Amino acid sequence: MNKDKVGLSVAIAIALLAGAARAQTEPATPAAPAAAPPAVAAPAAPAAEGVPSSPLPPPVAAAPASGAAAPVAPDADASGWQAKLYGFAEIDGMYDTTQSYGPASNNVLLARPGSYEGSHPRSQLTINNSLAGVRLVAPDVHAGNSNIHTTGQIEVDFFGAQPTDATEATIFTTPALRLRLFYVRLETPAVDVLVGQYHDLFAWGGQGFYQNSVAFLGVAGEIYHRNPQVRLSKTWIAGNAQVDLAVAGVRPVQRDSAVPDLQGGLKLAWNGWRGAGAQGFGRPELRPLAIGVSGLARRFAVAEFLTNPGDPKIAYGWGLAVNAFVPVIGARSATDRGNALSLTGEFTTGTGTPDLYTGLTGGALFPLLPDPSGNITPPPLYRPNIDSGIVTYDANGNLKTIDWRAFVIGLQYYLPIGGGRVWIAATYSRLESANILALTPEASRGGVFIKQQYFDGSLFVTLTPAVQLGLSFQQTQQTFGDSPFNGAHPEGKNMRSEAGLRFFF
Amino acid sequence: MGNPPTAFGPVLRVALLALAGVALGGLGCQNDTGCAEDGTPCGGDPTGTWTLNDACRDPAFAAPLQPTYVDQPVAQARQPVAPTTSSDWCSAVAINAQGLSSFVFPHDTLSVSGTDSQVTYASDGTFQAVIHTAGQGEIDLSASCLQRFGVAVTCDALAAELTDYAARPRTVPSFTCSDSPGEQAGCAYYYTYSGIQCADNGSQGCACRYGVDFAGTFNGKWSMAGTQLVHFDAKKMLPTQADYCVGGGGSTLSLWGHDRMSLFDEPGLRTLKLQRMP
Repeated sequence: MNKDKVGLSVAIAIALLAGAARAQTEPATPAAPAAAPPAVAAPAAPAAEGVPSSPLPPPVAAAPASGAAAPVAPDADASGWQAKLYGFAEIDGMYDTTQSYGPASNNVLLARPGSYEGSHPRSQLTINNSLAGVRLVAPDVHAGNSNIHTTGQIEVDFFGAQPTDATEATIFTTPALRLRLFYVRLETPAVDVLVGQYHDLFAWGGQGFYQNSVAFLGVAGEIYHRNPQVRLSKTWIAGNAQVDLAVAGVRPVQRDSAVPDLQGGLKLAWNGWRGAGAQGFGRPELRPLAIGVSGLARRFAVAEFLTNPGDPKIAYGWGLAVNAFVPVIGARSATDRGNALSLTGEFTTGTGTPDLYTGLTGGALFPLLPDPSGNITPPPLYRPNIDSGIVTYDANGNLKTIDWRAFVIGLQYYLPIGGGRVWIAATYSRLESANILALTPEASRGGVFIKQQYFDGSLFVTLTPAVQLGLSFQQTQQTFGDSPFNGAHPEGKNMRSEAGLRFFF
Repeated sequence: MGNPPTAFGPVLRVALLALAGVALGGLGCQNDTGCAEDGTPCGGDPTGTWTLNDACRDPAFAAPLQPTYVDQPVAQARQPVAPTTSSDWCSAVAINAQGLSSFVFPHDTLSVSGTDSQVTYASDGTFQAVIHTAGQGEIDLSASCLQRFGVAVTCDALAAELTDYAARPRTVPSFTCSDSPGEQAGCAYYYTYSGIQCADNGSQGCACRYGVDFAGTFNGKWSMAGTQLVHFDAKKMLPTQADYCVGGGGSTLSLWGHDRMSLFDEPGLRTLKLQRMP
């Protein structure tokens, strides 16, 4: 990469960040988070996701120092900074049998059977999943006999928060930027430090465990989340064995809890057994057999269920995740992967953790404050200081966390055509809550789901080394909490056909 | 980008075939509609009185209205709107030493049932539909709901209070309702609750169950338009259309909500199969 390209990359990075900052400006006043859903109904699904970039930036081609843009450490060597622009332009078209989803078919509440939205189709065409980023490598710093290696990454896509009065046309044709990744990573002889926004350590995000599907990540039932964090990690390598241990202090899910979330994880990998693995709509890479175990703990301090609350009510959430990537039939290389077969799996359980599944609340809301006289004007109003769907108050006014448990399993098989340039993948997931029904007042149970099943099948074709086509069928089924006609819980279903084309650069 | 250039002809053919398959298959996908129109509208003379033979109703659900929005000031810029909530755990229960003064009986979508569901199309151009729906409701009233007015209520006493409360006549909003088919047009909402039983829920509250019946009366004028019946609601709501077919030599009448409209103001009611009264 020459000096001009480095300069161009930095300029693009600055421009992207300026746009992201403008698009995601926080209100000036530190008001409580608004729990109300967006007023615009059309693209209802929040947070559709692109495909994660590589977990950590590989060294890029040598480049001369960019001069003024580089903060130079006193003992920095003279090799200069390196920068690499990357990303993809993508277009996705999808047809749904209901009007439940925005671009992503994730965990949002489906339209009920028999309703207008549940009986009529929707089609969308979007480029919002396109993505751009810059990987940066700073000059190594010598520390005794070893180096401190410093890297960073900036990544944005076009699923930024839209104003509540945004129109359908605005959302699809002039989308807002969204900051996905923005971090620095210091690799030292003692420990590696990552500071900034990155995939959550819970479920080892960005480490090769995501499902392979044309559906936007996270697929239904899958942990897929990024957060500002400070992460300490250590990697041990002995022969083909690799052990990663990490702990992270993460943005608290509720800022008024006043305590950061804590996440930790252990990952084991065997580099002698490698297979082909693609995440989302991404390109396949050679990945080792790996298993990850991770957990999280968090605290909630929620305003008492009163119009004028006194002290908060305290509750705690936790989560456990087990992830695996198994190359059932290995691949010779990332580009010679014909006949390779790989399996991905994820099991998660926890309470007070739905925010880590894309778009998941299950429909859970805080209850209505009682108004027994029926004539208080205006009616009493409770303003929760936490996003909806994570905790709620039960019938006795106790703060309760909402439980969720899920497993996701996926297979990807690379056909012996052109070295595996054509491959198929399938995903199945199941997600359920043991207590969302008991934590929802009787009259509102038709607005929550207690169980969700999802499966998809995808076909991928590498048309050229830079262009990839994906086709997919996805079906989601949800079981609602009410019992109409005094019978079984009703089930909503959405079927989606999706085609995507991606140009990697 | 390390893939060497290769012949992409076969790959491209696979891709194009698959794309065509997904496009055709995808557009062919359609959700099951629980209450699809299961016959062909054929018209005929619907004049007469018809009783219910069968019905199909979708599991309609309407989230409780958000009273928090009532009389709230208009949201100012950068001020959060009132948060969306679920319903009240206590279902508006208000009970004190004088008894129960307020309660809402929650229930899920009711089944259309009973031979007393009748539809009459008179030759003078008026019609009357009495649609009887029934089912069970339940609620778990917590100790904090029952004790917040400073009285201790046993579950038996609560059941008695609920029974007494359910028997009181109510007005909507200014009509006194009865369950008579001759009900005046404005009285379209009449629920009855029966068999109310409450038992200890194990945490000092009461779990109550009850039967729910609803006889909705829908009156007005009717007219024919081909194989459609147009119902003009006496309450001055907009007219609704139903596809219909008088069959069986004039002994049966099938009604389907036109374009999946709900029949007779009953949410989710798509199909009525009726037979002529002797």
